[in-house]
Amino acid sequence: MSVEPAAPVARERGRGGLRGRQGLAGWLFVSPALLLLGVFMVAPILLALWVSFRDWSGLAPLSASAPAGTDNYQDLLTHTGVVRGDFAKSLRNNVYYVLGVVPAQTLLALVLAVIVNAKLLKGRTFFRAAFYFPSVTSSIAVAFIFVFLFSPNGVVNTVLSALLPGKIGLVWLDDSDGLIHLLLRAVGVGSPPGPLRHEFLDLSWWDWLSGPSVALSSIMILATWTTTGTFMLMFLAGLQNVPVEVEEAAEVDGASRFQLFWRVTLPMLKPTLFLVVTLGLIGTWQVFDQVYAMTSGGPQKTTLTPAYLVYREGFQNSAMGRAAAIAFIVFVIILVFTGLQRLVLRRER
Amino acid sequence: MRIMRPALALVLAGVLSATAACGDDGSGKQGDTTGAKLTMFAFSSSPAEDAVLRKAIDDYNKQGRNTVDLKVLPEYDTALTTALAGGQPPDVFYLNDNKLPDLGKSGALEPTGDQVDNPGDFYDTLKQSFTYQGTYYCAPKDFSTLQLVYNTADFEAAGLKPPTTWEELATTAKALTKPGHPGLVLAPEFYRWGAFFAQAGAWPTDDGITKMTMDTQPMRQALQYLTDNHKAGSFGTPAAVGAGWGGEAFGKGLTSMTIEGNWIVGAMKNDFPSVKYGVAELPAGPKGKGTMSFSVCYGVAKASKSKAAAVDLVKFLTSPDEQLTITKEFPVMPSRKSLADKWLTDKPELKAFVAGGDYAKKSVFVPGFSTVIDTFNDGIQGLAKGNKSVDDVVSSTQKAGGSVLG
Repeated sequence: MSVEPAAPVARERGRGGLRGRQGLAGWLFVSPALLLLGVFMVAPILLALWVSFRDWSGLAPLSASAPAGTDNYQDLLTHTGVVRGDFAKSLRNNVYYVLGVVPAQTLLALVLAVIVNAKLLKGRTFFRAAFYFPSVTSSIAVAFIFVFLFSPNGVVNTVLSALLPGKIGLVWLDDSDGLIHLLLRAVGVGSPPGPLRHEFLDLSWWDWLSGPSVALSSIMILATWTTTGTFMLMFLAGLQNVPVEVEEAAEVDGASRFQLFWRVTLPMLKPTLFLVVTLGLIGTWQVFDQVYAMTSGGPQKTTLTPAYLVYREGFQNSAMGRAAAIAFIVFVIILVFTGLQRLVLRRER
Repeated sequence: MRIMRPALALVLAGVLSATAACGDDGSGKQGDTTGAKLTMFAFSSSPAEDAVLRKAIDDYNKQGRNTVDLKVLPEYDTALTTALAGGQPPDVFYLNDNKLPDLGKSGALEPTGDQVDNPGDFYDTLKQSFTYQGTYYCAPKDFSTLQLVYNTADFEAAGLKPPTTWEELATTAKALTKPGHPGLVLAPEFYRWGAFFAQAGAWPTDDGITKMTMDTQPMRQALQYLTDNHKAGSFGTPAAVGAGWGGEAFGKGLTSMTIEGNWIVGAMKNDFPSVKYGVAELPAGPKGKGTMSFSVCYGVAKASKSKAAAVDLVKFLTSPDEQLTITKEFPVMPSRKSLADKWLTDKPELKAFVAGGDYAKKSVFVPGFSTVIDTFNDGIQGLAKGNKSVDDVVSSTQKAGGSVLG
């Protein structure tokens, strides 16, 4: 081991001369990219941050708005009232949405990727294309098709009626009952026990624990169906990066197929898994199109999500400042979730 | 990955307004009555309405006073908000009555309501809809009221006549109810149920919209009446029968009665031309007849540089002749009282809608009230479905309104 000479480092740090001019050239080369990022990302984000501290209806120029201090944030987080209640409902709905969609789409994507990666499978290309297909269709168009599928006389009810005894007449997209509430009702708990009547953020604990409504569950099924293909593709890329020699070596060492997958393949997929879960989290916290096209936040606000609330408050209820504040709170939530998840995956290593 | 579009649009609106702030503030000058290039924003629900409006604007352009560039926009609220936020709004634009308080408060509107010809001719309810804090901002374009639409064949087969009281409505609906076919289908929202509140002498707020008046006996009575009939199965929601709205349920024969406004006439003509129907006034409640009116006005932007020309255009569009032409094919009603009889001559079957103009309640409140309506709708959906109680709905709406009205 030899010690690196210190002199060149010092010279590099010196200003002026050839190196200095190279630095300038470097900045010049990256300036178009920086300018674009500045104009289309940094400036708008800072502006939106500023808007979140203004009382702006969005119906007059921003310059004419009055300062609101932290009122917009307080209305959402500390002031009791309908605004905070709606925000709490949107958070509840989105938490259930994330808890349902992220594991489902990740698991499904992994399973599908393993299947279409199998060397023995005939028509692999066909299946790869078929599974990826939902991801390339327009989400709004697919949402409208699902509205028909889930209508009271639609395909879903027809198929269920054929499979199950009796006629199934579920009004999927207009059913506000939470799944957990339905389960509890089935075992005889129809109304909240005393302690659960207490409210947190203007929403009773009983309502926090409702589970996703039937309507939200329908949207969750749709979301899982559309996004799985993309994530399957990522897992597929990850699987193809796993060196064949390593797997063969494990086989030679006597690993069973299950051990091979669980102990060799999956650990090597960890970076992909991190990517898929992170993108999944970010995507699910931003769900908007399906809600907009299928339910507009109803029935009984059980499909209201923060992203849809941003739209509703900003453009329908003329409270742009509040809308911006919601967007920033969601931004913080996404950061926290991603940070937590990084921590968990890193610890496992 | 999905981009958060609303947030993006918000950001964009902000950028626009920041850049527009450097421009002209457009204050003071009213501009000339002639020789201006005007921009107009409008929305349209059907190709027929589209065509009628385009023809009206063509006629105006032919007069040669000003040139109007008409933009019929989808996603209207978003488009209008972005234009207003950018500080360069259209000179003239359609404005829904329920948006008026927010726009009045923001100072984006030039008060032009009284600058049209013979302003006293307009229905008072409509003028009230477009008045915020004592200022009458814009002249109503036309209006619709809610009434009872019934299937004549079903009524004849059952030997029934249109109901005139709440009791009759309940028994009529019950008689027409079959499995999967409630007698009456109405959307579970304030803008339908409100007609029943009016008939009971109840309303979410007092007349001055200064305090909530949810916790009253008449309000509870109206909510209970609707809840009981939903529970009995003789009233139903469009979603429960697999329809998008009352008109669709009615046209597809999934019900025998619905409560809708003038717009149902166009929908029936286009989508269900073979279904024969009649329009009757809604049955009277404990406090007599009641319904709700919905209207759109021609707003003139305060930031417009050609306000005088814009008013000239509004004058033309609200003139009796133009109103009759515009409302002839697309059967919303003229906002001028004097035109009611002429409008009815070729469509006497729509008399009930016109009659509503005399006693309809406006569906307009104060800025920021839409969150209260959202909460009320939440409760109404719960009552229709049967998983909320009248007490819950009364107290949650009262509370929501209290935080807005202060």
